[in-house]
Amino acid sequence: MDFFGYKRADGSIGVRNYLIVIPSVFCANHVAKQIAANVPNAVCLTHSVGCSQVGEDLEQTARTLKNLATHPNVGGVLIVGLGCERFTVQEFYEAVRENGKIVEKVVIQDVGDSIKAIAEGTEKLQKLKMEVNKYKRHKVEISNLTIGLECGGTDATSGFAANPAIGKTSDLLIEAGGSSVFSETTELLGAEHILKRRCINDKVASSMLESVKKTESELALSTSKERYKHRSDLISTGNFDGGVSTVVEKALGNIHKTGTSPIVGAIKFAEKLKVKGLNFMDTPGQDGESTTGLVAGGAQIILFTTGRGTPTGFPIAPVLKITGNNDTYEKMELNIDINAGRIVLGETDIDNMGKYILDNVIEVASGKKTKAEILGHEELFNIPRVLNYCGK
Amino acid sequence: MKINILQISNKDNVAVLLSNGSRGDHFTFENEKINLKENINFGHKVALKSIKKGNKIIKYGEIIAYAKENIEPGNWVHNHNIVSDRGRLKDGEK
Repeated sequence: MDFFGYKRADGSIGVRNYLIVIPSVFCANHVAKQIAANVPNAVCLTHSVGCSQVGEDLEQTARTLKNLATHPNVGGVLIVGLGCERFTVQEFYEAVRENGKIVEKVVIQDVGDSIKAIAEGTEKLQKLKMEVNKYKRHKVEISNLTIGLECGGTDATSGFAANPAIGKTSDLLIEAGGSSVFSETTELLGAEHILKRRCINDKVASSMLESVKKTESELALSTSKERYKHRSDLISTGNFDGGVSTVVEKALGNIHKTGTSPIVGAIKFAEKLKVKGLNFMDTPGQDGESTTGLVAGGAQIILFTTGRGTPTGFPIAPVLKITGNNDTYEKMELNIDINAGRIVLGETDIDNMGKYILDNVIEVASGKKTKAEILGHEELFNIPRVLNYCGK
Repeated sequence: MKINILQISNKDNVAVLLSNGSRGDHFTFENEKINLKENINFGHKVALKSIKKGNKIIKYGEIIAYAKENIEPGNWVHNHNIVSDRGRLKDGEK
C-alpha cells in the first residue's frame, strides 16, 4: 500500500510540509509569533521551557525541540533565540542542520531589539518559504509511516470500541512494515502484566515496567497527603461520568490501542524510535504532553480516541479523532473524524473499523486534512518538565 | 424493558450497559433474568453476580477493583462501591 509524501534529506517521509518558527527559549516566544504572523502558513511552536533547567530536565527539553524541528512533517525551520539561554541557539541550529533540514536562526540579543529581530526573522522566513515550497509529494510505501496512539476524554466505549479498532489499525500498519507508538505511562497501571508478555525481550519489558513502577510510586506519594484528599483522583471526572471507575479499568481499556503486535522497543519521552514496529514511550498521561512526545519521537499522524469528545490538535501533525460513542459523534461531528460508535450500534465490527481507519490514515498521509486541522486546533503542543524546584 | 449488555470476557462479574437503563429494566445472564436494582447509564457497569465486600471486580477478564460493600446482581458498580489500590500507598508505606 502506498501514499504520497515528502522525501526528506534524512530518508524520512513527511505527510505535511510545514515551515516552522521555533524558539529555543520561552523568552523569544513573542518575537517568534510576530515573525510567523508575517509569513502566511508559517507555524509557530511557542513553549515555556529552555532555561533555568539542569540534567535530564534540560536534556528532555533539548531532545524534544530538536526532534520536533527535524520531524519529517517539517520542510524548513527558523530558530528564534534570546542569546543567553541554557539551551543554546548554536546547539539547536547545528542539530537541525546536521539532520539535513533547511534551517536559519535569529538571536534577539545579537540583532539588537525585538523589533529588529522580527524584521530580520521575517526576511529569513520568507526566503526559507521559497525553499520549502520546492518539496513535492512522491509515491512511497506505508512502511514509512509511524502513527502515535493517543486517547483523551476516555469513557467506557473507548475500551471496547474505539481503542480495539485503532489497535487493529496499528496491527495492519505494522504488518505492512510501519510503526506505531503508545505512551501515557499512568494509564498502564494494572495492565502492565499483560503488556509484559508481549515484549520481545527482557530489556524492553524491564524498561517498560520500571517506567510504570516509578510513575506509580510518584502518584502514590502525591495522593497520600490528607490535605490533598480532594485532589487525589487518578482519573478525571469525565472518565467517572463515562462509566470508568478506576485507573486499572481505564488502563485495561487503554491497552487495546496497542492491538496484538509484539512490543519491540521502550523509549524515553520524545526519543526517536530505534526499532520499527510497536514501541512504548514513557510519557505523562496528559493528552498534550503525551502527543508532543509521540510526535517528537517521529509519529507523522496521531490516532486519538475520545469517548467524551475533545477538539484538540497538534501544530505539525494531523490528529485523527475517533470516538466509540455514537452520541458524542453526533454532538461533535465538526471535531470528530471517525464514528467507531457504529461498532456499538452493531453496524460494523472491530476488524472492519480498523481497516476503515487505516484507509483514512492513508488519505490523511497523502494530504487530506483532519477536522482538527481544518478548524486550526493546535492545543496539544506541550513540553513537560522532569524537575520543578518548588511546591514539593 | 429488556436492555442490552456487554460482558467483555466470560470471566467478568460485571457487564457494560449498551443503553441507558432504568430500575426494573432487565437482561438475561446465564439463563437467569436479572432486574436492574437502580438506574444505570450507558457505558456504566452492572453486577452479574453477588460480589461480597472485599472481593474482586473483574472486567476485561482482569481485576479492576475490589468491592467496598456487598454488591448484588443488578446493582450499579462504580466508584461509590468499588475501589482500587493501584497508585496509592500500601499500608505501612510512607
